[in-house]
Amino acid sequence: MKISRILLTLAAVLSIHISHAQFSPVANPASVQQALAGNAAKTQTISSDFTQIKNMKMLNDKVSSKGKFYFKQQDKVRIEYTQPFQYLLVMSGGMITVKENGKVSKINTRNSLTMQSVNRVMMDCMRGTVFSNKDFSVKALASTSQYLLKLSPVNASMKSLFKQIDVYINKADNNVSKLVMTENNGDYTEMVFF
Amino acid sequence: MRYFLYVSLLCILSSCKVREYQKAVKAPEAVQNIFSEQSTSYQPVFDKILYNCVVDGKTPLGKRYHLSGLLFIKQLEEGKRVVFQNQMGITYFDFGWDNNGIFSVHNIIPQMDKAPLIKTLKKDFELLLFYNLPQKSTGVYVLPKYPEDHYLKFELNKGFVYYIFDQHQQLNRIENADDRKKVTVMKTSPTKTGNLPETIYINHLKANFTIQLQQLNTNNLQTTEDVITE
Repeated sequence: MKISRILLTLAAVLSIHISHAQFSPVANPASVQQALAGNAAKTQTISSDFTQIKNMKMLNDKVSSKGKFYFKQQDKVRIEYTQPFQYLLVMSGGMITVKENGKVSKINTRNSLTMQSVNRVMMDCMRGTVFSNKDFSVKALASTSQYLLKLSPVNASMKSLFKQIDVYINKADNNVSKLVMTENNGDYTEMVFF
Repeated sequence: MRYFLYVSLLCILSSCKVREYQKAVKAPEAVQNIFSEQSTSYQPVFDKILYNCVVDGKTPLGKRYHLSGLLFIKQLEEGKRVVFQNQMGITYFDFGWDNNGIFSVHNIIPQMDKAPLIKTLKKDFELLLFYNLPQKSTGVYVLPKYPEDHYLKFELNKGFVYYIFDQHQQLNRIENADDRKKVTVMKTSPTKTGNLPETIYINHLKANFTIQLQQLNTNNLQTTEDVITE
């Protein structure tokens, strides 16, 4: 009886362990950087639906939303939230155009270093070119099917917004499958692309 | 002569009150009896509410600013929390009140971490939630300009607030004033006592910014269940 209980517990622990992808540090980060950079150079457009969940730890609650994501070489990004609100954000060069409640407004990120950094990390995350982003240090890990790039902010303005950003990339096609942005208070936002 | 002018100026300034409110008269007893004088009886009862939130304003130097995102209000066992975050989930601010009404700033971006702004926002939410008000109102008033409306008044540490109800006893405005001027005017969709409004437009007349709130479907809110993952 005692032995079977031990075996059951072990099986339970193992199954939990196995159900989460095992990531370990990449032996040769430069090769990962090269592979992702090569993929980014070839990729003209990306089009994807996404779901987003903001997890608020202290409030024991989540807020979910859905939308569509588009990327076009070199630096054009369109993020369109469709539920539970309508919000459109288009980044092109240094300009951000926002449409909400029928109103369109333009933001010139060249006037704000913080906005430039946020703009740049978004582009880099979606293209997988985060190794070249000077505002973050990057640690590369890999599982059997994915790369996990862990971005830690290095400058004060990014540190005030993020504790860490995790970028999950499918090895099969080098496309970003998930982004997890963790704030300093432990709340985090998951964006899953499909 | 100079002394006389100085005293006259003081007298004029001290007697300047919001003109509209100068004509307020206490409503008849039949109307007074419709409204509870206890501030707690007006507090909205809710678990959690999600609003689409848009903030527009102008700095004292004339520079325009615009923020938008989601405003999340939740009733917890230990008090209330109000979180404003952008569409991508980045928190602008996270405010809380314990059950004794003590206010805390749990999180705020550096650009909004200014004492006057925090004080203004704290007051906005307290007025909306009927929180930290005096226990009893000073009564219900009527203004000749809006004879159908009933003005429920609470004195504050500085100034006062009128909660304005239509002829169906639904809240449609909240007006906060100091001794001389209106400070904040909130227009709401008609709202029964005990509920939070579906739409709210807050105009800060002194601070020169507005907040627009539109309630969203709470099907997008999920409570996190405690799951042991490690």
